[in-house]
Amino acid sequence: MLLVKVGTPQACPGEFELLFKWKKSKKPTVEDIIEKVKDLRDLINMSGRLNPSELRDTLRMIADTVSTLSEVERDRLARQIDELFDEKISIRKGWREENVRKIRGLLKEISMVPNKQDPIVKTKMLRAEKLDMQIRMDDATIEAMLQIKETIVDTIRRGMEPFEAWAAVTRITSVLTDYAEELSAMQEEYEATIGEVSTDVTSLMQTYGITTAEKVSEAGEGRLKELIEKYGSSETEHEHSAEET
Amino acid sequence: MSKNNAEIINIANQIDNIYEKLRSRVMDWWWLDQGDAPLISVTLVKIEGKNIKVERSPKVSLLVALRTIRDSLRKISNLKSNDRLSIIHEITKDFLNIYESTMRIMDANDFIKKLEEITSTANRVLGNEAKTIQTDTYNLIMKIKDIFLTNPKEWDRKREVLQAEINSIRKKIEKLRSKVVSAEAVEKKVREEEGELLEEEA
Repeated sequence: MLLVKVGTPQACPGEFELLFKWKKSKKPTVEDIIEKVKDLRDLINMSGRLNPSELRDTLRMIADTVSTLSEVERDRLARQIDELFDEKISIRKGWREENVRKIRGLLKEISMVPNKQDPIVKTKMLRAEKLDMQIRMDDATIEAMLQIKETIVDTIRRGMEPFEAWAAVTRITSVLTDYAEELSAMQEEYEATIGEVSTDVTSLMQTYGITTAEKVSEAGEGRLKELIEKYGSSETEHEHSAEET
Repeated sequence: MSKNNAEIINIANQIDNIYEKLRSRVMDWWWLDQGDAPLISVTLVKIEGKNIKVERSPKVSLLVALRTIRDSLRKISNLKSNDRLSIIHEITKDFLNIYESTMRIMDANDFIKKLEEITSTANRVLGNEAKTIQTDTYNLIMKIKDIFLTNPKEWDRKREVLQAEINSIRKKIEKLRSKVVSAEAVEKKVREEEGELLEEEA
């Protein structure tokens, strides 16, 4: 007969485990790595932000885990990670391309308006500036995803030291964060100015006449030129073709 | 799923393909808010239990119209064939309307490209005089936009008149150009004469 004393670990093992938090240290698996990398990718892709400590931990975890894998297993994992990023990068590139086409159309429209003092030009300029920021943000996100993908794949394939990988990642993180901050600041500014435009239009005629509008258009035209040089519009296209012929 | 249901779903999926193709096209229509301008109304299908409501939507863009048609087709795929038939008849008319509007817009877009070229030429050759041409072309573009915003079918009737207006702008450029050239020649002659006088005085 087996005698078990009441209140001992043998009598109620679950209770004791809960009480003393006896945990077996679980070694991360390949699936854990994939899930972690997916989370990282989505964080960059969705919010344009990156948690540096999480990235550092992930790289360390990957380096530790892949050391026990065979060459074939490493290669398979690297390819999986590669596909994970490529999927999102190509979607982001599509959005970028769409935004570039939108800004080109907008710049074409602005350049066709004869009266640059028209308040609608200012609203369109602000939209163009917002799109410009969005395109830059897309560029930064694509670049960051590419760099992080390379770093993780390198860590898996060649066993890059986490410290070495971290140095590369820090540079991207700062660039990405700067863009994200600039974009949100720009958005606030844009919304504030849009509000101002609608009230300004009525008061402009009564109080300031045309002088304020002139100043606005002068400032706007300089920026318009810059944006047209950057993204092009029908006019510049025509000029280029005329020069070529 | 019956064969008819599957066919309707298949048509809805094909509309998705057309939607994607049109989406890449509309980006070039800057004068129509890059395809966001409300142009046509379509059939809206609402199914609440056994009640089927069919009504007209307010004016929407071509892309929204296509999406609405696709959604309506998916909704009616499970209805009885009698109910379905009358709705499909309406949807077919909408689809034809979208197709015709797209064709007209593409035709109008060629006009817009001509006007863009005219503006660019005027800016190159006329200098300060280009402003009047730019105003004329812009007004014409707005006129074309208005046609589509009010009734796209009017385009067929008005396109000849608009073509004539484009030709008259071209003639105006020629006139202004000859004026600019002759003014430049006079200025050059005056400068030369002034130069000669100065030489004689010296």
